[in-house]
Amino acid sequence: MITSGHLKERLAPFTKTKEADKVGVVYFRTGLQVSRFANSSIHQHLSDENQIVYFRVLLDNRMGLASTNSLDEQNLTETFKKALRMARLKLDIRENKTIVSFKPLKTSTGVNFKKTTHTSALSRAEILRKLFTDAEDMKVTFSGNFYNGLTQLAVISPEGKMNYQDYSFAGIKLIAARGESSAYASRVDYDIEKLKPQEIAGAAIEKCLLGLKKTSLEPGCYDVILEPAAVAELITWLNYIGFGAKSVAGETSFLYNKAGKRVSGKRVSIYDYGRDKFTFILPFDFEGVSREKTYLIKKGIAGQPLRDSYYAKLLKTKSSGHANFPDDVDGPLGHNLVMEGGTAPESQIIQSTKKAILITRFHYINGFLDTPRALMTGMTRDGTFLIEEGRIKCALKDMRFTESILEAFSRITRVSKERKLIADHLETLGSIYAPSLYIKDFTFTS
Amino acid sequence: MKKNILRAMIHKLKSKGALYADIRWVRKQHENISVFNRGLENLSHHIDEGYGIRALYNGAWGFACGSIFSEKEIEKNIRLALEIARASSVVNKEKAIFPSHPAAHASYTCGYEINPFEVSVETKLHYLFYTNEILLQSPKIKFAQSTLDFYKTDKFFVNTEGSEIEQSFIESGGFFEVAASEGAHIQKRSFPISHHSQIRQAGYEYIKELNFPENAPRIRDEAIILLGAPDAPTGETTIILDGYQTALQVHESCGHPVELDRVLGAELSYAGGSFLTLEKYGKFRYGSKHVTISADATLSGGVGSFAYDDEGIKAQRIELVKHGIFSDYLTSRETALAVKKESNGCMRADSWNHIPLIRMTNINLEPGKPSLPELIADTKEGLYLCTNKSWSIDDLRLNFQFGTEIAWQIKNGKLGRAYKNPVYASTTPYFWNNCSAVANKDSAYLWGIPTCGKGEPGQAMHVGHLTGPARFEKITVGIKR
Repeated sequence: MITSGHLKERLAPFTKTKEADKVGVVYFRTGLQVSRFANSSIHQHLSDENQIVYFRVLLDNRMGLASTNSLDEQNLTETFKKALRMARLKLDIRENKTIVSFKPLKTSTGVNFKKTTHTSALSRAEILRKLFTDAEDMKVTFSGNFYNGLTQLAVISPEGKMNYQDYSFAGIKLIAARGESSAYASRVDYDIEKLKPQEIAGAAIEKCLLGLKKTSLEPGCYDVILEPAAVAELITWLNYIGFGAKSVAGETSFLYNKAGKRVSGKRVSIYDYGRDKFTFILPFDFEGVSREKTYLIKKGIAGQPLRDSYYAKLLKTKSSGHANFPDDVDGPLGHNLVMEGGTAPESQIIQSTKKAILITRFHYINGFLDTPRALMTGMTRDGTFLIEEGRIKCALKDMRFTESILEAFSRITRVSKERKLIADHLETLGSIYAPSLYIKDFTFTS
Repeated sequence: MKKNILRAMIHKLKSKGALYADIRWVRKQHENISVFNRGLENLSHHIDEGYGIRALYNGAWGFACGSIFSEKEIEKNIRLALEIARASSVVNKEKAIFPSHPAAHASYTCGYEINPFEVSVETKLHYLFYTNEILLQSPKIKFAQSTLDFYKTDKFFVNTEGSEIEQSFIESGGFFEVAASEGAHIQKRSFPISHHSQIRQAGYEYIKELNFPENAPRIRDEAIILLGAPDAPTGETTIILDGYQTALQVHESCGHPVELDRVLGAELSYAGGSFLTLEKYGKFRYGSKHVTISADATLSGGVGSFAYDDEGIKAQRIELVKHGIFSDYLTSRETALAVKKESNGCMRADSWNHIPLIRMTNINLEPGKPSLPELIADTKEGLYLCTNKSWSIDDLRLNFQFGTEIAWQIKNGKLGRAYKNPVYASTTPYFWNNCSAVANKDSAYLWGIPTCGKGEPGQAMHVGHLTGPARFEKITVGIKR
């Protein structure tokens, strides 16, 4: 880990150049330690560390962008010069890009746990050995991952001011398997001590043993109870196809032309907020702008999309602080998405259910079918059950849904009070805090 | 490149007791240029360089990586790789068996004519802006994006068996997409593929061959036609997939399930398993007699081509499905033991900081006899489905649902009207067993997909597919809420 002071010392001097009108620098680093296992044996065990430094150079309204993974002085200088050369290109084009100035934000504390960043491969292995041995007695094997690491983000303004944030993270994902049954359970936290792997293992095993005999259901409409991991997967796709300003500017989003109008049910409120205490915080975006609390949908009514400075200009509004990585062409996206909870305790949702399908998580959702309707398809996975008269009646074979998620969300009848933080640090940046949902007439097509 | 440092690292790993170790040094350059609605959205250049150490020690594997070549850092990472391996051995009841392989010495550079990194940015931008302008020549077009991507990858592999392999690849490609809208209704078309760039192991000459400006008017007009087109019909019918959709179909329902690490459970927590379990090996009827699918890492221009994989195994061509019978897996040195064979060289990592995994090379559907016009002329009624729009398949690679951007009606051997929002769904063996014809080699195209995801941490691999149109009977179409 490189300290924030050292980063500023190395990178801020580039902003003082007289060769450009403005220079901005972005630094992002993730260090990961991962124990990946299958059939209760570690098969991929690794340390993965990489970083990236972006130089943004503005000259006569032309932006140059170059990046490197090396903090070596010579590499930094070469990369800066490359960005400068790109900015010097004489091009007769519209660009509308700028490098944003900002007042530095105070770095949030209490989110970087030494124990988390320093946990060794051996410590993880010893915990896993115990889990695997205990599961053996029940003829259950585990696949999954157990990881810990650190993320650092720094953005330096043209004035040489720096926003800096780091946080530690740890996660455990377990797929318990026996015969044809498999069940998923996971937990993530800043603090590895709070993961409680045995609790997670217990939950996965319990679900797995409930699924040893599976029944098929005919395709059709059924009420469903979606657990937080399943809800988070749907929100991930809503984010990707419709929450960002690029999809609104291109008119492909379900939020296009809908601000202030109803797009879903009253029980649906989803926002993105970089300082939300229930998510892995990212207080500012990749332009250094504070990530403002932005309601995408509030009580079913469409809000404003997530903006960076470029799309804010296109949409004639202000940035909401949701700039993505400088070279990302997906446009602004949410990294701290929160779905507001309801009043029903999770246990009561199941107990009061006459007949519904309980879904633990989904597999391979695709939301490109008809983006203005948020029409999606995907499979259930690792724990699908039929609930009847308040109890699990039997396990079900996996099924495919095809649904407009906004329309499905307008049929939500209960939202759980409890919510869960869902994140996959091995796959992507960002996290989602989601409740369980009871949805009427969810469509399964096979 | 720091060859002597890497050699010294290998000696150190050996002297510290590693049963086997390899080190990959990789330097990757990526240039992306993207134009969105007449504005320059992205012009970026990235360089990424470092090394990954994979060590077999105490009967288990460990991996560590670094980007700083100081003695202190290297020493730290060697120690870390061995410590991680030792930690694995605390858990694992069985020791990893890694078959030895003769040392290889090779130097390979992929062929290209024009180095894309030497072509001026102005030339590339002119190409993209001109394309964007053509796409936006109608008020109904609200979204036009044109993109180019160029990659240069240099690799040096060294292992404790004495192998030293140097490889260098240049890849070029691009795509454009356009969306037409009217009210709340929107339709997209893309060229030559959707969602990301179509890439080749080639230089800037390939960008000229793609010829965006010539194709832009047709694609734009098709997006507008779709606004007034009816929804694709529902029911059971004959479908002909265009070459790109066939590539996606091969990728998802053959390429992934034949990865032997998936079959053995290595991806259960993420990508999933496979229905092509070991007892099906060599005897399962995967498809009809028309279906022969190969994996060819030697195919010129394919982005899944190389001289040696990331375990030091020479590139090969193998048949995965032969006249409909499932005949082989994609393997690594370790997993090949499960089928009592030697590795067929499919281990690749997308970066120096990631471990190699079994990855598709170029997975190809071998051509049949009819041309595409003959295939259509031979079809009484059905749909011709073009350009992938959506894709979803279950974790065993059986139950799938794909959508394409456009469908053309086929009636009495002739193409008719366009349909919007076409979707088809099936299960893998049923689908491939209902393949009634594959178009000839003149109809095939070498596709290159830069985003094949697998692994935790996630890796995005470049994989190729040489595929042309293919016809399937009695397929369910039009599933939609």
